[in-house]
Amino acid sequence: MKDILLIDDNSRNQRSAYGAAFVDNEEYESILSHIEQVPDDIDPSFMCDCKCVLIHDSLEDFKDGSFNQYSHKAKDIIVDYLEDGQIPYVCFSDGHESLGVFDSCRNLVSVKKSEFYNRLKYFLDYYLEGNKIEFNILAYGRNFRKEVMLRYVKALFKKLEMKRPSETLLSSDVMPFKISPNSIEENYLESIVSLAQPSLGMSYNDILEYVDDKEISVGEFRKKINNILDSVSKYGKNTYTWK
Amino acid sequence: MARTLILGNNPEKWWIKELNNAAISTVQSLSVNRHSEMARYIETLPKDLGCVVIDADTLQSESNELALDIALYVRLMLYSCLHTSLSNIVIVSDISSDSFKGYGYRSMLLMTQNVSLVDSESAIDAVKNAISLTPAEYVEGFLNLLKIAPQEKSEGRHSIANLWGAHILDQIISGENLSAQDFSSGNTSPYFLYSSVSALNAQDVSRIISGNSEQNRHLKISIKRTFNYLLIDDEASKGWDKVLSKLMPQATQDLWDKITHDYNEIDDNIRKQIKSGKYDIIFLDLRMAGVEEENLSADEDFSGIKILRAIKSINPGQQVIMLTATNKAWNVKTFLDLGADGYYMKESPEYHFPLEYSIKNAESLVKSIEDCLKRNFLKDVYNKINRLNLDVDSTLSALIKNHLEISFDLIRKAVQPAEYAYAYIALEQIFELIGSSMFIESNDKDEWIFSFNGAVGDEKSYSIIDLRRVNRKFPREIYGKSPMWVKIAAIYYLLLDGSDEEFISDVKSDIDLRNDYIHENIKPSIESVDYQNLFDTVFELLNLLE
Repeated sequence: MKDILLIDDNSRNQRSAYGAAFVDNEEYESILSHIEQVPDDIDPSFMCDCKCVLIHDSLEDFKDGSFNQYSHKAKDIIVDYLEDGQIPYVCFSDGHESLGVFDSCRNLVSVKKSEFYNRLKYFLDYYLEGNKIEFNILAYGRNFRKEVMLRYVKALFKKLEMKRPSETLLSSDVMPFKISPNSIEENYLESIVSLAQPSLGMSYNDILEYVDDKEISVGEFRKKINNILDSVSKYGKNTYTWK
Repeated sequence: MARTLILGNNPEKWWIKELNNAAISTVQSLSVNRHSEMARYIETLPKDLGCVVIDADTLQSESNELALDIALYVRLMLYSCLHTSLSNIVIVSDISSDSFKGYGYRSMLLMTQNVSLVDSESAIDAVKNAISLTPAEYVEGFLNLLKIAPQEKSEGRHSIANLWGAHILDQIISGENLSAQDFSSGNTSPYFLYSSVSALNAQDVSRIISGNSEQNRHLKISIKRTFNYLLIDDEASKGWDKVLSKLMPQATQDLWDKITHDYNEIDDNIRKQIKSGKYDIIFLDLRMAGVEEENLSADEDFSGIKILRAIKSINPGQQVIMLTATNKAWNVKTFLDLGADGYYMKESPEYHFPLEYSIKNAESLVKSIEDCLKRNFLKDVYNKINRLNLDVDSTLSALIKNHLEISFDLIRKAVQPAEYAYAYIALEQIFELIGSSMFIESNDKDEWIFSFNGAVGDEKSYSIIDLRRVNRKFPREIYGKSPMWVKIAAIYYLLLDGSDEEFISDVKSDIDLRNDYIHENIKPSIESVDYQNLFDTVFELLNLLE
């Protein structure tokens, strides 16, 4: 089995319409295999060596020489198998949203079919270059780093939304809340700092110290974070130095 | 300060509190690409806002796209939002303005007039200085600076074109104004909404926001009788089934809406009904196989063309109106050459037709339907011609059949008065052929010699007709001139031993009209002749000779 498996009934030949004829032209045959007709009693064990599986969420079972639009047993069998075997997977469908949605295991469980095919080529090229499965490309597109960073920035700024720009920032303002006795909010600032390395030149803890020592305003802090975001948007990586 | 509404989810923010007079509308569970939900929400906004503030950072979205999308819908939904669509739009976000770039046409909105992206510190000043667009600015500073293409590739485009086309026709025949109300999910896409306003000028915008938009016409088919039609269109559910029902409430609709590559893939029962002549009109889409036909180069390969060819080979008198989203003249020529009896151009949002064109297009469809219903008798004529088995001389029989076919073809294709005239003359000529082939003038002015089979010389088949008996009900001065209609009356008399005054009167008036048309300087109108009645008269006569 090749590293990446695409399972899409493609019953209306949408792949071609979505500009993904490269799949059927076997342009990525070294890494990508594809299946269109899947019976409802499929034995999914042949996928055991796959690095990831990309599957049409509304996959129609193939039986007696035709697709059955009301039967989706095969898709359920496959997804159960992938989850049991912890094989990363992506579900795409016409009814899903453009921006991808991940589950807690970082499977991309929802992305619009047209966007999926628009982004697939970059995903495959990225894999060819670095042998790395990057679902963020399928979820957000080529400029996925910006969208990932934006997600963290938005969440971080939301914590500051009641503060005036002139107010002094406290390190506690940007640290994660305790959601319940056993769980804590995702640490957005830490994620941002992590993605901004190595150019940022300061660690997460350094920045918390900086915030408390320098008594910077909320407005100044936002500006610094925005600089990181702008840098990632423009160059695909952070070139901004905190100091 | 202009009447302001803040769309956001945190009314406790400091800058919102300082905007004392602004109302707040919470924005829950909206998302990009859920078009109908977005449209429904935007429709609830007051129609007279001078400033719409979008608190981008509180929207439930990981992306900035949603804030831009809301702003875009406010601008595009002019027919629903009226003045509010021209309001000053202020997007407030503390996130870098650069992060709002990269969302295609949504980001382009920030380059248009009176849309600003400010941080919370600048929000209050932006709202206080807000000024609405004028109608001219809406066109020049917004519409002319924005270009929205279909979101998806071919299938989406074809689908949206069908939604759009059905929607436009529906609005025109209903006499309603364009509105976002009752839209299904597909046709509240930004592309669809953009297309609904992109061809407007400043006067149109003024008229719309003042509530005086031009009322479209209320179109209906003038023919009251009930009839049957079949719609063959894989995109029927996009609204074509409903809009045709609305246009022809007196008719019964049958539907075939499956992906279909050629005639034999149509359901057996429907094919039986077509063959039986059940349908007065068949509406047939040019492309029945969706995206598969996107790149076809030969017209002959289109599924609709194959189906048309099959239907016409069963009965060329079957009335077929093609539905097509094509704007290619050669496509139209192909199906007209194959005998299509009319066509309707499904309007696409890609071609910005002015309202006047849309009305003419719809009126043309109505006329095509009415013409088809008038010509529908040709279906029976074709069957009668094929079944005709005259007990007359073979040369005469062939000539009669030839004239019937010529007349059938001419009426089927007739557009110009001259074409109707030729059809009429060809048909009327059958009376002449029968009269001159089957009758020999006798020396006795009150007698004709009638040849049953039209073959002169076979004495056994001759009869002497006493015209005094034939025409005792008709004035002598008329039959004294030996007019053709008297000969036809003689046949009737001879074969049925009686006379049918209505039939004879029809024949007489038909022959008189033909004579007037040929011999008089002022030609009578011949295109408005009741051809169905004329064919009935001819076949009634021919039935006597079978």
